[in-house]
Amino acid sequence: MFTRRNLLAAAALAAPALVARTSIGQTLRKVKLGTAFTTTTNAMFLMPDLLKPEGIDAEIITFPSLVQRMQAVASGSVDVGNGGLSATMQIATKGFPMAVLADGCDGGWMLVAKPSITSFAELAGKKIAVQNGSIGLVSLNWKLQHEGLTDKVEILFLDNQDMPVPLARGDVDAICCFEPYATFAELNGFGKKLWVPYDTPMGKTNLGFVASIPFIKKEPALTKLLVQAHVKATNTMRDNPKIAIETTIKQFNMSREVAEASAKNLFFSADSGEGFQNGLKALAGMMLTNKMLDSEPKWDEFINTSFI
Amino acid sequence: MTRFIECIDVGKIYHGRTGDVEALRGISIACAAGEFVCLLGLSGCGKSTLLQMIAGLETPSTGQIIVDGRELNGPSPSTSIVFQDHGLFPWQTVRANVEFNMKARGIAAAERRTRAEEMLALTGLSGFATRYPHELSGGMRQRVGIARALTTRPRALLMDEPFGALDAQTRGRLQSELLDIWAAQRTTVLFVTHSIDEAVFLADRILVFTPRPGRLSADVTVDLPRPRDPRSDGFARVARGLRTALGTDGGSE
Amino acid sequence: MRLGGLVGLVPLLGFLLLWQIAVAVHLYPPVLLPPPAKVAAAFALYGPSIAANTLASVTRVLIGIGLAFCVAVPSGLLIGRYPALDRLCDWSIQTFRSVPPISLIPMAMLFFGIGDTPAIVLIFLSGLWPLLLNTIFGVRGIERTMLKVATAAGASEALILRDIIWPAALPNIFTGLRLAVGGGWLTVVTAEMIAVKSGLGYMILNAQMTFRAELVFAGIMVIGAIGLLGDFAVRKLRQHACSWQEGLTANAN
Repeated sequence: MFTRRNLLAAAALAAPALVARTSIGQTLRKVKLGTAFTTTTNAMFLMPDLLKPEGIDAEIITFPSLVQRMQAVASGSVDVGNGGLSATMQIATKGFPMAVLADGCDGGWMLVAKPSITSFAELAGKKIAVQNGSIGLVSLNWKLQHEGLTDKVEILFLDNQDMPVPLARGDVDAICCFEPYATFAELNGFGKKLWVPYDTPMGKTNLGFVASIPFIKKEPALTKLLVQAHVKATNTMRDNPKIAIETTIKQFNMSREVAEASAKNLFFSADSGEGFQNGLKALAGMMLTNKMLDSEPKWDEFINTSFI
Repeated sequence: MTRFIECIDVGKIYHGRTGDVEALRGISIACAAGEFVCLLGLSGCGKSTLLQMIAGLETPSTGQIIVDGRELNGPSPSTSIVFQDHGLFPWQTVRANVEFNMKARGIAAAERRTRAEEMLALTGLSGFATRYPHELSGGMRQRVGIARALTTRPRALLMDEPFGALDAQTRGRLQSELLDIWAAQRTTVLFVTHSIDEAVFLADRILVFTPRPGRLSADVTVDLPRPRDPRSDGFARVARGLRTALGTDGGSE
Repeated sequence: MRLGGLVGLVPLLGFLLLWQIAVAVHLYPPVLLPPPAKVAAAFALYGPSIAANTLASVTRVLIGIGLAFCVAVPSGLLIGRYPALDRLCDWSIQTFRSVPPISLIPMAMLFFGIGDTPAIVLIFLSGLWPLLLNTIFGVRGIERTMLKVATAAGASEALILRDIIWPAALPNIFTGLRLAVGGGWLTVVTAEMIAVKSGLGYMILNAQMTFRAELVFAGIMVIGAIGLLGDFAVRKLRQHACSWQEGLTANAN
């Protein structure tokens, strides 16, 4: 008989069966991917669609900067994702074992100076803005030393998005700035490209796909899936500049002109061969000189390209 | 008899959010120089309002107020007012407090000093010039208020229930002291009170007010010789009459 | 300091103990939570640099809050005194004071450039509102009788502001000052994100960027200690300037 009690009892019996059916159809594994809000990390946005057919529900967690992204790694909030390679190295050598799994994006920054400054040497006695702890700072310090200008310029720390206005106002004479803000400053006439910063030992080394070593040890199969998705996404970005341009327009509210020009300064690449690895080692050397690093990472642990 | 203070058909209406309140209507009174006049009435009858208008702190809605022959247009230098909650400045010494009214009237420092000493002596506060109000008792604070009011040599002293917050004994003492000061200075005194006994003890004339709206209902001359004995028959007779005028026959004062 | 006051150290020592325990059981990665010993070592190693940075931050706060005082107090006295002015300014005050300093950084950089000037502007703003609002509040709370005494005595606006409004509002101004110093000190880390080259905020941000947690902690501890000292200093100053208040338990803030 269909009394209320019978119906409730029937529902209670049916419930596990219902749950089982849904879980069979949708076993999506949830993964959190960390990234930061810069143009070099654009490939990350292609990842969720690439991972869904593999049964992975990827959630992208964006941090305000790559440094904070690495701090989140240290506190265990996110295990895997994009990482600034200088920050990754710093964390790894402070007792938090990390591994670089693949290259992500090379380049993406440059030095823009007031139009009245026509050579690097003229930066003597001037003010240069750069983001603290960034790859930009590492490259700038090396170049200053190389040109004998180390104690002759005043370095000020600003975030990338804050750099164009002081340059326009004349509060600083040059900015060592990441895209798209560097190109934005240039195309608006605030300054001219003075130095393409890839002539240092570390070259264009900038962003990679990284993970904590405990995570890799625990989830090798998942790591492989993620790395391969990353490689696919990165190659797609490399082969289709339009995607990067559209993302820059949408995410950064930049004009098409700026987006197109800045895209030329981004070198999406998952090529993690000798060139990339030498770049990492050179980066470590430069950071050691600058005292941004206390010791070199254990290279056989730190570089792990086996999942590509 | 000179009319030192005169009110001609004075009325006061307060405009509030919930409507108008008529605090006073048709007040016509005259006080001679040197008279001790009490304004007697229960709360809400407008007597304080009238006093504050005479002090120049409020303006009448209708009618005129004339002090020392001139129509009032703001506070007159001929009057000084004493409040129940004394209004002394806690951050100033007794001397500085007493000197304030003179400072406001632009009197020079040296003269301020001498006059203040004079008034402090008159009110028995000579040794307390450097103390602060919080160090004094309630009665002494009122004396400071009176001393301050007297320093500008006002022709009329306006007092708004000045002894209302004091205990009976202190009140009695201050009433006698006030009469001594009045006898010596011979200022006109306008004294607001709700106490029948106080009015009979102090005043030459008692103006009785009734409320809603505030109106003058009686003008009683008190003929008793001073010092007055509150236990005497004469005293009781006048008090009885006032009680009737106030409409408080049933209850005790 | 009386021994009784030192009891305030007990919770702080308790935190120290918890911290040491957390480190000992590896509750958090040492790169983010360094052991107390390492922080102590940082003080020893970088003592002069920490002291120099402390001085820089303290200077900025003193200038910023000093300016805030000079703008807020006179404005507050006037706004509290004149209702028309209050009606004019109220909406603007309520709007602007709700804006958190960190959101103003881009605007500060646009109007004031980078370095010390925008930093001091942000600190100024964080101290302006508590001082302004508390001054206005202090003026509004002034006992009406004191103002009546002054008006009846014919005191000028200037005298009333100088002799009554300013000293009467002073206890509330000190409340505002205490909040302003606290708020300004709280803002110093935010303010020093605008390309300054010294200061505790700068030191902490720099240490965060380079994963030197022991310096972050050292900086935070100094900030906390100075905050405590600053509050203590303001309270002492107030005790001295408002010593007359001790007698007025009812008004004590």
